[in-house]
Amino acid sequence: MSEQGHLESQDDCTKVLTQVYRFLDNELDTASGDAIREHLAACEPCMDRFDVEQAVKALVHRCCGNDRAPETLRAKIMLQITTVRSTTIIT
Amino acid sequence: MMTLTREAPPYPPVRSYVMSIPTPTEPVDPAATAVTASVPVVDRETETEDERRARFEADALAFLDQLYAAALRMTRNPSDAEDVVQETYAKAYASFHQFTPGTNLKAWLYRILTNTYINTYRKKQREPQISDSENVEDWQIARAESHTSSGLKSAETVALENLPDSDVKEALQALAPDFRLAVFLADVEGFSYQEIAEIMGTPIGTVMSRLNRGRTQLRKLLGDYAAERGLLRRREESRA
Repeated sequence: MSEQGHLESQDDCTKVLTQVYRFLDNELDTASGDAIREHLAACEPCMDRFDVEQAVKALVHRCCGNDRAPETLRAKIMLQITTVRSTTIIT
Repeated sequence: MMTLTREAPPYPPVRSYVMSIPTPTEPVDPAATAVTASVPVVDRETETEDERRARFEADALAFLDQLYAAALRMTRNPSDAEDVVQETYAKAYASFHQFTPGTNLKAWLYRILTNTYINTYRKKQREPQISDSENVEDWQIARAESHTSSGLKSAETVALENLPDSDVKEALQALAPDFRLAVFLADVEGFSYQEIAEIMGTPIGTVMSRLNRGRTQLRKLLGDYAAERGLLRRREESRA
């Protein structure tokens, strides 16, 4: 592999890692996403990095959103909206 | 006898969204879909107070658990979370006649929740504000490290996946409020960057910066917890 090729590969990794969150969040267009998928399939360090980021995202999704509101809160809100008349409030 | 100028569609008409979701692969939120799909044609001019209340109860109250979870992450304590959510629903109901049925109700509620939290509670809480500059130095440093470190990445993934839920919650709680909220909205709720930008009232670039820095910090914290639990060896054993 020529030096030129090596530099090109380093640039690819840098580019991919810069976009890893946008890729993970489905914020890239199809072409950019495909380019990253192609790179990840061929580059183990980048794939490992992607795996970790994906794991963290999945952990947050699994652990941080499943709280249930207390029943008393629902009751309080219902009481509140039956006593408050609808008016124009700028939020 | 009813006179119809055109046939009623067999499914709800396509409605315009205030905030678009740019990717078709975005995970679909069943709650949001159910609510949107069940929205009948509403004439807000002639709707009675009782009808509006019933519509609010059916559509907006469906997000109670989700908003409560978000408020818990914001305030970090159940009592304040309840207050924020209650105030949010009071405001939301008061302006519900201004909300366009069929647009993104969940994002609308989250925007009110976020404003309520920022305007009322954050001032009270006096959390240390970590600087939120737009540079991405942290990210670049983390990136450089990841490429030069000794191939323990698979071990890192495995270790993180074995952390108890409480550690993950604790790590998220440890982030600065703006980073925490951005990560929550993206990872728990699956909002797009555009939606998060509108909810938090910031440019998309700021959302991306907050996500980058929040996630970088989160990953480091989780790695520390995993090491403390003996799930992961630190890169340098100098503290042992």
